[in-house]
Amino acid sequence: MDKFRVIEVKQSIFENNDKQAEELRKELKEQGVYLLNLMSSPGSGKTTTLSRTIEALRDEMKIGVMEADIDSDVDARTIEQLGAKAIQLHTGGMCHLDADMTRQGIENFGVDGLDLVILENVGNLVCPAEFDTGASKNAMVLSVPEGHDKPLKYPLMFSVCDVVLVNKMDVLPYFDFDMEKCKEYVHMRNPKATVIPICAKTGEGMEQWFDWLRREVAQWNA
Amino acid sequence: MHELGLCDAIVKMMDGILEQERMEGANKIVLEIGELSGVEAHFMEDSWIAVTARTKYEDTELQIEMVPGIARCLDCGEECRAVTCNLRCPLCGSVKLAPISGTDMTIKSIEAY
Ligand SMILES: Nc1nc2c(ncn2[C@@H]2O[C@H](COP(=O)(O)OP(=O)(O)OP(=O)(O)O)[C@@H](O)[C@H]2O)c(=O)[nH]1
Ligand SMILES: [Mg+2]
Ligand SMILES: [Zn+2]
Repeated sequence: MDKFRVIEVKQSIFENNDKQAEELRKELKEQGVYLLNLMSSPGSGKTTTLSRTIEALRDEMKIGVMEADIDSDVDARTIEQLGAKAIQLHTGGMCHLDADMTRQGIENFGVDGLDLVILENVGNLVCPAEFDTGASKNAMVLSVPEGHDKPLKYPLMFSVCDVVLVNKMDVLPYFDFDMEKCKEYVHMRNPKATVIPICAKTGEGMEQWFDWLRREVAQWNA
Repeated sequence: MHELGLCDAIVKMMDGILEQERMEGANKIVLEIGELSGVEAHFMEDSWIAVTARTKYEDTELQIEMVPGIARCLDCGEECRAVTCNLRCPLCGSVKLAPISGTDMTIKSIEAY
């Protein structure tokens, strides 16, 4: 009997996760919980955008937030003060959340009775794009100072996003950010992506975003 | 950072595969990394050592084979190796390039015992 054996595996690293993500998505659908995976570079305005969103929608639906961004609970406490249910996921320095970690987070959190759960993913544009979390849809925040050519540099991230929020519109006059080019580049990566300019700081232009979310949550529960 | 998470995912997959095959451990694992997967081979090697330290895979050798990343120009159809053409079609200059291979990372084989 030979002791060693070569196992021909030919399995994608991402495939395993994709299966788990598909399962989680199905379960959440049955429970009527819409999970939004929110991604961005660090500091582009995820927490600020979330805060405005909770303020606007908290009387219409039950919202929960799972914070995965870095191992501090600053963001989770900010959210809790707005009256939404929040949990801090400790990622142990991990660069992304996979479907298994998301499931554990969901189970600890207890999503019973929630209509909308937003997952603030780890702030980076590479790894979160490669791992399907099992979310209903993917959103990203791209802030004006980051430049309109980000979709060229991070093609995968933009190809998986259903909606791109272009944040910090208030500083547009100070940057050579070209909104038309930005839209063109986003659509090159994903023709179906919705691009919405917003200013989370002042709340300007956010109605279109709230409407997008309202529609999504309603459809999920239809 | 990214590569650490990937090594972790690989370890989880190996656990599953070895259990299924009723094998105990592995001498070697062969990975195929696409040039357009965003994964850096040498970070992968460092991360592998870090992630497997003091585990049953401590002595498992990681062997990496790169898979060329080919992109096709959506305007003229030219194909090029994406890493050498700097995100522009070498023929017509278009930036509308779609990757057609080399975006994945797979476990090719495991030498198990
Ligand atoms: N000018 C301007 N600043 C903004 C806007 N939205 C957010 N900011 C500022 O940008 C900084 C980062 O915002 P956060 O909401 O914490 O961003 P984040 O993506 O959650 O950041 P991390 O969780 O640290 O990755 C803060 O100083 C915000 O006040 C905006 O629309 N305009
Ligand atoms: Mg934040
Ligand atoms: Zn061309």
